[in-house]
Amino acid sequence: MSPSSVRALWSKLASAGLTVGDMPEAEEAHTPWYVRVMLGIAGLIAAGFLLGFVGAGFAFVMESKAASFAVGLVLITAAYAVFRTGPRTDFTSMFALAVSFAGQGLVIFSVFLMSDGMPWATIAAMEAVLAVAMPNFIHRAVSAYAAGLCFAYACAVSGVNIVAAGVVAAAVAFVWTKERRSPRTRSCFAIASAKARSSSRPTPSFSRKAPPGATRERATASFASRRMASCC
Amino acid sequence: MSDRHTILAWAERGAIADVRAALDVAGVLPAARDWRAFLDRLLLWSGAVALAAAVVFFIAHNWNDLGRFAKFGLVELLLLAAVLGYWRMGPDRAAGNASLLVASILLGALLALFGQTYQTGADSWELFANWAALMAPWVLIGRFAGLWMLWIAVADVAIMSYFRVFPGPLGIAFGDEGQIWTLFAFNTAALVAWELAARRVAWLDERWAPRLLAIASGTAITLLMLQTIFSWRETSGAAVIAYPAWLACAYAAYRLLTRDLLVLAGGCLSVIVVVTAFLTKHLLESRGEAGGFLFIAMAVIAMAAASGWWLKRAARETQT
Repeated sequence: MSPSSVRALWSKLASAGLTVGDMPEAEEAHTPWYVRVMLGIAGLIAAGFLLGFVGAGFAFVMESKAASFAVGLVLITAAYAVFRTGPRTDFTSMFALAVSFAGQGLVIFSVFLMSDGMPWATIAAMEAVLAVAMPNFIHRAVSAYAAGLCFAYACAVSGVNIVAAGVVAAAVAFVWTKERRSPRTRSCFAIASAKARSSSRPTPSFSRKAPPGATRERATASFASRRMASCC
Repeated sequence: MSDRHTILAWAERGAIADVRAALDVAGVLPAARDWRAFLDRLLLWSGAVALAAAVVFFIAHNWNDLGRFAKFGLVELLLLAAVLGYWRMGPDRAAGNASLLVASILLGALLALFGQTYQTGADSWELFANWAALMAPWVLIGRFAGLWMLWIAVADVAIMSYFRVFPGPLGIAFGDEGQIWTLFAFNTAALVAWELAARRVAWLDERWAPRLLAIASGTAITLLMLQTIFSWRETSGAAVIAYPAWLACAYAAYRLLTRDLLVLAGGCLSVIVVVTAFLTKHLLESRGEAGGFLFIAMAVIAMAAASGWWLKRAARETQT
């Protein structure tokens, strides 16, 4: 988008009364998906060599299940710390990404050696936690994909593979509804209240007096009622 | 960055009071009409491809239960129906194009059925070459990018199967190098032809097709370069000249003449892979020391970070 079209979008939203304060300064450009794919693959390659480094330099880590599990967790935690507190440069993010992938490799390796029960389910759970916790887009995408894949394997091994697609689709839908970062419970409440008072409309005096949260809730409610009307 | 991304980025910084309403006002939420168009397309194309694949699987599964005439009758009848469908709906409608695509796939099924029933003794490359040759008139009249890509894919498979049967003098000397060189030459020629033709012909101007061709061409030349690095003595060594030339051409075509960041990102990944292979060969082959692994990991991270920075800068230039 050119700067003029960004300004045009802002004034369109401002005239509809949907903006707060001044237009924020432009952040760095949106990274296209294929650049992220490229960086993700490079991160995996680097992680492979980091694992080689651990294997060649600290052979005892690879030989002990507990040691590889512990070192893996330490690496993942270190990566999290770098993502959270480190300088926000391309190099540090790539470094943290590769360190985290290497740590996950060690944890997955030890989980396979230790658990004779459900290694895939354990890995799926770990990846799901990482997908939520790790403050990095590429990491989230890779972890979410790995979680889905491992969950499907876990289901296939347990003979309930018919469940996998439905659960993953439901998880995707759930995450999708969170895209706007509006609290889920509030929108549920708004939809429920809109259903109860489907004919009532917010009066101007109410909108003026109401706190910002209530206005927002009202807007959501009126939107929901419009949606319901269009559905019916 | 799209309107949608811009609004979500503003919302993250607390500048939007009601995100849902803002997305609605900006017109980026799909309306019922958009959903209908999307489902229409999705069902048309997945249905067309599934139908063509189903015919092949149906015959293969019921091979012993169906007579020779039933098998030929089924495929030929559906082929005729698909061609009639194209004739009725014409090239300007998506359903017409889908009919022609189904007809082209069924043509391959018919050729395979013929070869399997009468045991003609033909090699598999002949099947694919004949398929490509017989499909060519439909591809020419179809004016449809997807059908051209199917034709190129069939020709690629024909080339691969040909070299499996006739390795030739190059194949005996250099393993499968001749096969990859031919694939590289074919896909690169197709890419150049596509990009030149797309300037004049509107229906060729779809980015996904030349991007796929660029990925095919780039993968082939990267493989050749990797072969040269890992088994220097058994290869012709021509990739040492062709690879930098390919990179330079890709830079000139997709950074200077036009902008296509996907191809540039692919080029960056290719360089990362090739440099990593070179370092692995020379640092790790003789002795796998820990320092070598760490150095290569850091080199990969540095190269990826530099590529990301460069590509983001190029993306920003494109947006302004």
